[in-house]
Amino acid sequence: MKKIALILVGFILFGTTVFAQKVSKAQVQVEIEDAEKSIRTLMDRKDLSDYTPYQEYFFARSYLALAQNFFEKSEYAKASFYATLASVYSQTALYKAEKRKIQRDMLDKEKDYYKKKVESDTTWVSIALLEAGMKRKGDTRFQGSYTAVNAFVLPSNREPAKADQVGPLSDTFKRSLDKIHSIMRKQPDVKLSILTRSQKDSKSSIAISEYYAKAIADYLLDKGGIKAEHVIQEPKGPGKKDGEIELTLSEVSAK
Amino acid sequence: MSNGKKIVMLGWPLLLFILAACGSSEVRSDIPIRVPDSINLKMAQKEVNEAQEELEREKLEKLADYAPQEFVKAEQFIKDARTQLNDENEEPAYYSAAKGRAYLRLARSKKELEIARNQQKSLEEELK
Repeated sequence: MKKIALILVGFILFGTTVFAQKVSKAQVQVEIEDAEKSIRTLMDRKDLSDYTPYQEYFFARSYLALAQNFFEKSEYAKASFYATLASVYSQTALYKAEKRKIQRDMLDKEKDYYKKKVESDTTWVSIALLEAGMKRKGDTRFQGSYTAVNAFVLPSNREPAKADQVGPLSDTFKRSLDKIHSIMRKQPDVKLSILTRSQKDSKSSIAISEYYAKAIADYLLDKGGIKAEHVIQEPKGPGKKDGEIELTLSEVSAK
Repeated sequence: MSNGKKIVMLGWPLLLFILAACGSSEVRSDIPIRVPDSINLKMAQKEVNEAQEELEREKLEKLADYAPQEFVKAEQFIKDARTQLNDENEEPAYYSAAKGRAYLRLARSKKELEIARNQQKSLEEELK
């Protein structure tokens, strides 16, 4: 009797161990379904499509295919192994994609933050206007005085008798105007008044004066990005010296 | 017909054939983990020992704090592998150990993701 009981217990223990080690068909079926679900979840995340590590994704697909192959051949241990790998690799791909997206978002946020910080710092405006030959005349006003001899290419470096003899803007003056233009473009409320005078007799004087103001305004407006009504031409009659140009910027935000 | 045209005419079908062949193979040849054709006790021992070492290393790195579920699964697989190895069931031991290592890999990815999430939170606080 004792012998029979011992044999029976031994048999049960052996059977349980063997059964525990065997992977059942139903279990593998569930594992394969889980792996398929994992891969589908990854592919459904359209927001992560730019960040998905495709190597991991294709590995997951390969493992799933292997799991299905072994399942068909009834090799359930191998099928279970590959199904687990398929799930793990697709989830790894998902985690990696999420991580990449977070890192990208962080970079963008940091970039935006520093861009805004730099844009809000207007120290550069004062420097640029100083380089353009303008001085601060109040909280938001800057003024610069120039001569036509320096601002325009003039015959024999003197103011000509007629407006049609005035040459184009000089390169040095264009550089100053470029700085003014960039400020006007970045600060759309800024207005520029162009006051010009000519020393010639009253008839030619106004024509030359108008020519100076128009040439400056045209140069700035041709560059684009600023409103025409913010560029005010003020040609005046005869001055005391050869061709005077006074540029005044108002509503400037500068430290 | 010029040689250039011949090459183009012959090249296209060849290229299409190569592309079709690549597309049709479901299993990539470069997958990192592949089961050996036969698993002996020595191979199983090696896999289980390596898995155990990896697990101990990750315990020290506090991997469980970042990916508790994945870590518990890995731990369970490696524990099963050790039991199966002690019972000299080399094949199941090998599979369990390899599954455990795969879960450790997954846990590491989750840890990296959690670290990135924490960094994102700190950055948002910093930029406020």
